[in-house]
Amino acid sequence: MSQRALPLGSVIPPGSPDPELSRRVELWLYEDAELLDSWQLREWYARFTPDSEYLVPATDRPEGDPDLHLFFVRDDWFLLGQRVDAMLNGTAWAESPRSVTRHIVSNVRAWPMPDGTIEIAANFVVYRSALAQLDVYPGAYRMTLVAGGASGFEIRSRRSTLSLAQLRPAGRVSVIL
Amino acid sequence: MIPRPYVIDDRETPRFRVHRGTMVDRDVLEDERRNIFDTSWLYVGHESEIKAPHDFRTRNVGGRPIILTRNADGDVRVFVNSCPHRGMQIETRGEGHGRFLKCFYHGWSFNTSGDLVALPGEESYGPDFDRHNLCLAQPAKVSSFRGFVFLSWTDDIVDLETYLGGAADIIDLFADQSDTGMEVIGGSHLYAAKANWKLLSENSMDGYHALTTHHRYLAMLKESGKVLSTVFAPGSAPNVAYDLGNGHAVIGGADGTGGQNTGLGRDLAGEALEHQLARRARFVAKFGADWTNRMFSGRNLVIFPNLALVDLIMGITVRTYYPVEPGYMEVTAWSLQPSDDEPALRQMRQENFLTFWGPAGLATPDDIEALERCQRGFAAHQVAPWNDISRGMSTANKPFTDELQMRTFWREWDRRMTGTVHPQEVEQTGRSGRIGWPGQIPANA
Repeated sequence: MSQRALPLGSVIPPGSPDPELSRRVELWLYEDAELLDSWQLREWYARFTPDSEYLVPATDRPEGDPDLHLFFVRDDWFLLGQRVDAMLNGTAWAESPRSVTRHIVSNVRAWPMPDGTIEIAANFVVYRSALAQLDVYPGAYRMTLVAGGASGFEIRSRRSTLSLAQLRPAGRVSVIL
Repeated sequence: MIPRPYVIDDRETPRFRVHRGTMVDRDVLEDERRNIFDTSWLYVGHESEIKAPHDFRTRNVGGRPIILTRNADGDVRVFVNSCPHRGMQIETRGEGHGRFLKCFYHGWSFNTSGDLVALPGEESYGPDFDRHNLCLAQPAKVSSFRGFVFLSWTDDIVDLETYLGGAADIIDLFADQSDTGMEVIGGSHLYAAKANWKLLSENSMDGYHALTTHHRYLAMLKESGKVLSTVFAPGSAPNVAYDLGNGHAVIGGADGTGGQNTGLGRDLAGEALEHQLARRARFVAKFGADWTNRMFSGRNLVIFPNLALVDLIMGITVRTYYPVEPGYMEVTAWSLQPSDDEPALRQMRQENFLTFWGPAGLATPDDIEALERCQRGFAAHQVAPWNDISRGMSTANKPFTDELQMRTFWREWDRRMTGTVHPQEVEQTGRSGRIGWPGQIPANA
């Protein structure tokens, strides 16, 4: 719950991204999106390390520090697991019945870091449809990955920064970005 | 038009009902703008949001754009965010800092006292032109209580403290929680709900819905190892509802557990818990055990018509909301914290706040979903017209899981809208000082 790497939304590592690594991460992010859109959330959650965090900053503090500023989401591994469980067991009422989502991922770049971790930056758009409502969540990913796990990478930090001035009219984020 | 009565307050049966048409009707909303939002003290912001002279925040209050700022002398000022020249909204950033507020349309500039200080080509206005008649417009009244800034769009209103009545006591319970002052931290939740605004006044102090709507939040707490009986057990945290006068109401109580991880939220541990217990000990010395026990318990306060202050999870949210349409409201919420929190304690406060609150928390989205489904249900109001808000009306005790607090809101709402005066359901006292809650806590609540 401490010593966070704090990948801010717009700060990228120095140097050029690694083309080959970027391509591998891009394919891996497509799987990430597919797991979310197909509601295979347990499998998706298995890609996180026990010291991981999932962050969504508030729209008026996109570069915020979760220890100092108001966020939308500040989940540690335990809380993210609870979020996933509730979505799957039908007690996250906004997702019961489940909405239809589509995660679009692009602009993927990856940098190998001296400590062996991988920093990635990418853009996303998440479409969510429920009843007559279509919510659109554009944004940017910053993630810290480590090599390993069944899929080749594990997530240590996932920061999904919305490119929205306000959370209106959508009103809430009931799916995972 | 919705047939009257809007509210049936039947003390004989007893039964309390509210017409669902009041949530969907445009004429009702127009009447609300006149009879409620233009004739109440409305929350503007917290003084900590504008710490230094010339800091500013912009927002809508009662449907009108305003600028909250401090002038060069450090006085809190509120201006209508509209140029006196041709009406343009002067500042569109949500927050910032600047000695001058400049309208780019024709270049008029104002200082943070609202005076027109510069305009291009002033000589063309002639010798009788008086800049002083062209200062920024202001609300009829602006007043602060314990750091909370309010405005009134009418002169014809009692002073703020009189308006707050018994709610002033409860605000003290929020404001007293720091030796160095409470502050709103940076960042806000700017969200919305496709539901009538009154549903959020109800929901913000609804103790009845917790176990069902917030099933997943409570499941998380249980999984985290929290012993929920310390929160809900009778006697450990007697939670009751109070009619505070003028439509304000609160649910809350006094913590009787000695300060170890009271309220919702994941348990504190280690350094954070030590800091919290030390803080509590300081407050007992400063305020006495009774007041401290109340401070360290939760409470949901709704100040009529649209300000909720909620302290549930060792975090405090300040939330205000306005109707845009009968079936759509904009909600803005902030986190209010002690400015002297030690880092470990602040971190736990931040975490606990977000587990519950906010448009992506583990609780607020479920509230929004409930309110939006209510609103969709109200489409059938002609054939299914009544909401029932009778729970606990027949009993002398007023536990927080009943609905006295919502009836308190609706009685004032109906008085404003129709002139119908509803006597108070329970005897209630006004601002009581620091003796305790207004009224008595029922022994078995």
